[in-house]
Amino acid sequence: MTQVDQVKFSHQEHSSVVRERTDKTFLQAITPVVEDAIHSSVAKNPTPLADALFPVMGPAIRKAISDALRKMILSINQTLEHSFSLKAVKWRMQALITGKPYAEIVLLQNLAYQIRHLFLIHRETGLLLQHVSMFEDDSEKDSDMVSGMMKAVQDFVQDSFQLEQTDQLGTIQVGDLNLWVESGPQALLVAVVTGVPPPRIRDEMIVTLERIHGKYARELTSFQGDAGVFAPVEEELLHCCEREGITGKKKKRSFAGLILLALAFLVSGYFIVRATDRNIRWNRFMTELKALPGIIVTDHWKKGQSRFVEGLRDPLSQDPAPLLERHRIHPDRVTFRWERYLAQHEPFVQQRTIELLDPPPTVSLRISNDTLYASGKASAQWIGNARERLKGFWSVGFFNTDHLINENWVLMLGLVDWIEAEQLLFPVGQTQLPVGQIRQADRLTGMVRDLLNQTSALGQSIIVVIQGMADSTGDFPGNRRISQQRAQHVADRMIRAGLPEEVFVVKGIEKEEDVIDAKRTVTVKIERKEEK
Amino acid sequence: MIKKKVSLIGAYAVGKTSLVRQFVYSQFSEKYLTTIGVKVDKKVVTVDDRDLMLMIWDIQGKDYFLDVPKQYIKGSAGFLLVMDGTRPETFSVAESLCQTTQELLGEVPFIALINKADLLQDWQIPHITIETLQNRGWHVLLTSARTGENVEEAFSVLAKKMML
Repeated sequence: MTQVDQVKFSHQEHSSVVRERTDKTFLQAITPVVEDAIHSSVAKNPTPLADALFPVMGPAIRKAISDALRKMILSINQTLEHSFSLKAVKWRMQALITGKPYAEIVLLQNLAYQIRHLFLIHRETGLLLQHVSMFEDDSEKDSDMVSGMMKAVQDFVQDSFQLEQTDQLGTIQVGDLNLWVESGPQALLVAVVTGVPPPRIRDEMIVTLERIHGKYARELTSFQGDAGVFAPVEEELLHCCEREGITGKKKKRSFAGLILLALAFLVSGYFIVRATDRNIRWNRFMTELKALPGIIVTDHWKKGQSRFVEGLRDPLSQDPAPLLERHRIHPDRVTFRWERYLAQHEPFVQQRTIELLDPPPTVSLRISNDTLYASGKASAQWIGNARERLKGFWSVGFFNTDHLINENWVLMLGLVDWIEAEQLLFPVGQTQLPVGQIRQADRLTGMVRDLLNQTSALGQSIIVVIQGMADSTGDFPGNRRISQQRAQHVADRMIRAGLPEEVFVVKGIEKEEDVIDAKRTVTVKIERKEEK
Repeated sequence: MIKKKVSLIGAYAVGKTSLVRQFVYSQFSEKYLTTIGVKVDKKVVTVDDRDLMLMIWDIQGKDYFLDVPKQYIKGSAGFLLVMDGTRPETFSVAESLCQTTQELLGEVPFIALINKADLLQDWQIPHITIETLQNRGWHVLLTSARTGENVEEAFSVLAKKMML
């Protein structure tokens, strides 16, 4: 080595030593500053630093965890190796034939799933950045809406349960559909998976999300609504699916099994429908039966195929047999046990009243509330009998005959006219009937007797008013006395002839104005005694 | 296509959901269904021959018990501030919501809508109120979700402002 070289070397050596020294000093100098800066940055807001480290930290942490998990799976594997079942035998055979580990076969058999969609969503705005769909039949047109609502649901959960920003909704499960959400600082990745997805899909999602965050950090932060820049992400998402072999596995179902299943379904369906139909018909029948007048169902039950109905039935009520037929219920399957009773149903009461009273065709009967209204024309005898019979008939409280014309009354009206036309004449100042009037007085007595006989046969009462009169000769008190004595004289004669005393009312003149010249008479007036 | 998130903000029952329904589906219903949380809808509008996809966030109205969660408003590129002309109290709610929203989003464009213009005879606000709002620099439109009056206009004016 020349001197120059030596010098050069030593200079180089020296400068490198110097640089080394300076580097060390520089490092020592800035280390506390950087540490402080990191500390203060984390203390102020840990998010920027965490965001920056996210693409680096994620894989490292995951590797450590997956190592731990692998060890755990090994022990599960051993447990599986020792388990035994019919299915396990089949799987062991498969493992033997294919030469794959038994645990892998078990996993494959248990996992049947399909990833249908992947959505990449901008975290702050909820706008869709990219979407891939594995199935053409799934409509894509609403992917923007889906991603918007996805984000809204996330926000809703966070708001409703007052969660931290870092706590995100991870899974939504609806029936067979799973929505798996992985959140990065700037974007969400949502996978729509049907079936039972293996947890490793989540790992793939996280890896993909981290890669996207790494590649598109600037675009994500400054996103202004133009999703076009994320077009290449489609490859990334598709790739994620491919690594998962995501076309999925379709469960094979045996054709014969399907037919059997369908048959079993049809047969059981038939019986269910039949039983339901039978019940519906029975319920309808019972509803109609209960609505029938004169039938009270107190109990009904089912024993095997037979049904029993217990209750009260009015003999006049409708026979339930045709009702059974109408509801297509076999009469042999139903046993009725009826107690007789008399229903207060008005048409029934009316019918029973008609049977009881046997009215002539000229009479019509009507029941309303508990009053029997009779109208038309009937003989006095029928009316009397009816009144008598109704006394023991508790369905009818009152018997209204206001509109019933008594045929006998019609006849009697003629008799009353005769009686009231008769005048017995007295000589001046006399209170005894002269001989010439005796015959006429006896005829009048006979007519009154007939009338009384007829009315009592009808159960009706009359009052026989005997009216005495006097002429204007003499003073009024004298005339009044004479008129009363004349009337009394005629009444006495009638009573003596056997007529009942209580029907007579004897009247003389009461006022001076009633005195009429040359009117020395006794007349009879018939009044109907009002029944209470 | 450019996509933008738009929020509808206001007191309860001012007609936010009806405005969105009218804008997106051209429908109106007399039934009042209160919005719980948020409902997201989508409509593409054209601004200066360019298509713009509006993702419309119809956010639950503010009432005594329910606040408007900031979470929902975040990320909006613009918003519609909705008031009810028949209820003066919805104006003060709108004012405070506007302030909160601007603190959260910064200076993003918004349009103030006084809704229920079809019930003008029932309006409870003096005309001067509208002028006061305009003097404050607010872009005010009188809308009716029932007749559709100014509904299309409101969204397209906002879209235009967001594209500036």
